Amino acid sequence: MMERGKGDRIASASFFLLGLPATLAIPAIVISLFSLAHPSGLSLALSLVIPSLVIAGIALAFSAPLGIGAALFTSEFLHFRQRRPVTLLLEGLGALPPVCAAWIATLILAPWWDAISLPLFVFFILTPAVFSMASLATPLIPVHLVDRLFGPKLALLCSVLLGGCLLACIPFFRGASVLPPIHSSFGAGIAISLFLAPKVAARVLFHLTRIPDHLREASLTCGATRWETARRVVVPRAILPIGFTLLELMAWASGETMVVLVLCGSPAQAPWGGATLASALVLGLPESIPSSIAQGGLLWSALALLILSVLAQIPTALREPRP
Amino acid sequence: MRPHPAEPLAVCVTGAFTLLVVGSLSILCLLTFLVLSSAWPRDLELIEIQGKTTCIERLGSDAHGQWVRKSGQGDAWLLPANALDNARPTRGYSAMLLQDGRWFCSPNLELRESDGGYSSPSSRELVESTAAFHQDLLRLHSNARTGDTAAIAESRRLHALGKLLRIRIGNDSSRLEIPIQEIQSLRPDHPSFPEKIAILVQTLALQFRSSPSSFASLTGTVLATLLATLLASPLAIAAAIWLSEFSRPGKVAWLFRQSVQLLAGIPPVVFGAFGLVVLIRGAAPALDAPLATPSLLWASLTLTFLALPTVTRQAHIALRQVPSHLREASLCSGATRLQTLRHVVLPGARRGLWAAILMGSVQALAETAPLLLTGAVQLAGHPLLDGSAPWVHLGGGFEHLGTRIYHGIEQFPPGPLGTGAGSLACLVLAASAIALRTWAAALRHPRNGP
Repeated sequence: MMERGKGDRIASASFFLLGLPATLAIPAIVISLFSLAHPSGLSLALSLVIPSLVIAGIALAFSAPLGIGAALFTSEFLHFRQRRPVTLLLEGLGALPPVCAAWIATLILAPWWDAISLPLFVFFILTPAVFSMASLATPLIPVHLVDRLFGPKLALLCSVLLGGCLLACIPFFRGASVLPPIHSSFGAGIAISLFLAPKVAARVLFHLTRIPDHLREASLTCGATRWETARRVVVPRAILPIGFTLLELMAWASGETMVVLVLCGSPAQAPWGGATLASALVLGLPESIPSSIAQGGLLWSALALLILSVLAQIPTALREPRP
Repeated sequence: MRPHPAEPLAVCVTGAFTLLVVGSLSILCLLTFLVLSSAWPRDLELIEIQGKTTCIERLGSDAHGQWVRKSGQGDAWLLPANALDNARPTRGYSAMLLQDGRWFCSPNLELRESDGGYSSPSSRELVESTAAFHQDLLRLHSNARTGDTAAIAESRRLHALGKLLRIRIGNDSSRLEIPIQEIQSLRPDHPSFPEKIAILVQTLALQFRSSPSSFASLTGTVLATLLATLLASPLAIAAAIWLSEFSRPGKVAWLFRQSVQLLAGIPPVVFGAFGLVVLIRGAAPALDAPLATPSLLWASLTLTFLALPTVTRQAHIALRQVPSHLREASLCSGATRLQTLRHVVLPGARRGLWAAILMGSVQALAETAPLLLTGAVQLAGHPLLDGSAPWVHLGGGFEHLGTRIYHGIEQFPPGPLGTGAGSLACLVLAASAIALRTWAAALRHPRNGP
């Protein structure tokens, strides 16, 4: 490294001191929250971790296939001239404010919920479930026999029927409506996926575009189709960073507040509703008396969210080269 | 190139792309449609009263029908639009009545009593005016039924002159003829498309002004975002410059980088909790009264903490994208690191740095949860900006578009203008965030870039 002059040293020290708040924010937040937290809130925080993760999981279950699919299509199949506007669009859509997603869910999705719940159910839940059950059921004698005797189409139909019967045995899928109402954890997950899916797409696209082009070219030269290249070269290469990104986004979505607050966070939304760490914080913290046990207890919810997000980011941090 | 048709999962990928892009855009279009449809003007009857044209503005719609604001004679007041629709002479079942210098219109001949079912002040105005009109009509009706010969004679005379409108009161289908002496003409008004656009813009502006908190929430949103961006950007860019240009590769720089990375992934509500407990309840009591409570100042500081890691991270990426051979060439030419930074690195990373600042401001703009904990309220009761020094008042609660939308949802179903105004606030917030983020992305991905 080149020798530094006095001016450079002063500049370096100045920039370091100016930029110190960005570095000290994490220790400041962690230390202050830990020092003010009261152990009495630990059990509440632990009990709310699961509902928070469930909503984040539902959101990710919808947004991950959409986001990864959209990113894969954009990076591998879209014409290179169309990639930039689509990338800009995906990044822009990811900035939809959560409170707007809550408004859209309440005003636009809610009146059509019954109409859209069936396609959602079929597209996201029934089809994958039936396909997985069909693949599990293949060794079973009836389907296998049908496949041998009548061909794959009838076998698939039998699998779908079998899968449907199995699904009908689960109490969740029985009832007047195929899906829970919009004012539920499920509805909140759908609403979160409105802005989570473009976020997933933009992040996955970033990882896919970092894969060297010569790998794709080599695969295409060997005679593989574009899809085979995507499936056998691109996806395996990006699977780890994509997985870590999904993990980070799940931790981030578990702290999503506004949508949960509107759709299922309040006690009035029972029995389908569910308070989460974030909604408990927003509803309880302003009401708590400063420096009280109630305030200290609720801070465990913030700490739980903090710990979840830190844990989710550890794999990514470990992948980076260390000194 | 299209995916191979034989690959079923390729179809799924295409479907996912289509569903995501088309679905997101459709939802935004639906929101826009919702806002526009509530304000789109229909053909109206223009009412000329003694040579003066009244100003009729569309406000929106609710379960009671379309609502318009009529002004031009005295105070402006609200009417259901179907009252005006029925004011066509061809139908002849409605009337405008001038009494004590005020105009009253029969609201679609369904005169509503003030039963406490209306909550907004505008609706109360309507109910009061309707009740007064109802009383007048009942009085005239009873006079006609009692055989007031003078009234009957006058009625016949006016009927012969074609200046009489028949009125049906309530649901009992009884008809009453009264003279409408003050109305000069009722003529149809079918505005052209550009005129409709002008009315639409006027109506949208009116919708936004319909609640006193609209301007306040817009001001609060802009000020909070601006303050957070102005506070976060210099600190974050300084941190990125130190990381990129001055730090020696080692554990300190690695820890610095990881700390920023971790901070960027923390849910915003944690920052809100930090802002409330540490900043407001910990540090604020040391200040004077208006700043010692949750306020715009503390909310902006909390948003600053929220935006810091994003700006730092993106600025660091932008600075690292400047080719190192440019730095080396500058240093070899005898420039110091500071000169290299000023004349080579910063100009090269200008677009990326702007993108970083924009991304930080989008984050500050879009997040509402931290604001619920740090000072955003439903009704502030005092302006953030006024003509007296210091012009910007950072103390006390403030209104924000996000919290306005949130409280609008809480009160769902909203009042007569709630849906339109809430959707408009939602559209303004969403469009601003998406536009700024897209702009940032356009700066990050230049047209001729990689």
